[in-house]
Amino acid sequence: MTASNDQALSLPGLQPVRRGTAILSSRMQGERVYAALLVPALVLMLVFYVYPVTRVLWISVTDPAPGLGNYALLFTSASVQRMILTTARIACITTAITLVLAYAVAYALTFSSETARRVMLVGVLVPLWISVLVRAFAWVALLRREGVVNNALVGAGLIEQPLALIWNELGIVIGMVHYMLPLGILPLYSAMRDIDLRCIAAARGLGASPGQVFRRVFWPLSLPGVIGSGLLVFIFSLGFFVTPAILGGAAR
Amino acid sequence: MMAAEYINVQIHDLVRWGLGSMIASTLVIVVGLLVFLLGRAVDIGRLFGTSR
Repeated sequence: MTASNDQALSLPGLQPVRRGTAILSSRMQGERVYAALLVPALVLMLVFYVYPVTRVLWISVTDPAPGLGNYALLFTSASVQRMILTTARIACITTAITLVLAYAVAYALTFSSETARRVMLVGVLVPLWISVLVRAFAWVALLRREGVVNNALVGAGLIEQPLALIWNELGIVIGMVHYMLPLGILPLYSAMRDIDLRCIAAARGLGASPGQVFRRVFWPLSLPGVIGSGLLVFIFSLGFFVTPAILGGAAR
Repeated sequence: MMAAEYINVQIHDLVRWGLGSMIASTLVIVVGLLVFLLGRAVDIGRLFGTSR
């Protein structure tokens, strides 16, 4: 350290300024390190996400001829419009059924005992860890004409002919709802867990019936979770491939 | 037939990359809009336990 620096440090009032500068410089160095740590992730994003998506966008306006001809098909091609309607219809039905079932399960999870909650959470999470392909083929084994469900129904005398439960829209919806349930339950449960249960106790204390408590307190407070869960399931449903390919009519 | 199957048929079977890419791009744009709406409606990070 130089003599002038020693002098400056010894002067009252200047020492905190130098210490502050040192802290600021160390923080800036820390920020640079964090920024450097982000570089590999950023490069991966650019190479494996941004570039392919941009390439797809580019092809959509250049193949077979430059222009918006392909996009015009959205409004002029009957097959494209039919496909959009089918996708939207199946995604909407799947989302609605998933939300109803997921809400009931998330509600039960919120108000059950610790042990029951653990068992139920395992039940919710285990299907999430099983491959979508395995689950789809399991549904084929259950729902085909000679499957477990049709055999049981025919055996019990409830139906004479096996029902068409797969290779149609019903099969797709069954398979997709099964896949989407954990994705619907977990955000809903997370939203319900954040609800202050003292609000419910207060409503009950003020004389509200259980139905009124649900309708006027619990449901409005859980609504952000319903919206989030619904949009998430809808987004996943829009681009679903494996289940519709195996359980849908296009496979036949 | 759903969108993903349609894209698969267009690209693999009919080799119509333009139409397949257009459907894929439309799907990306729609999903982007929905994620934007989701972000407006709820705190996405909080919903999935990544922020408090």
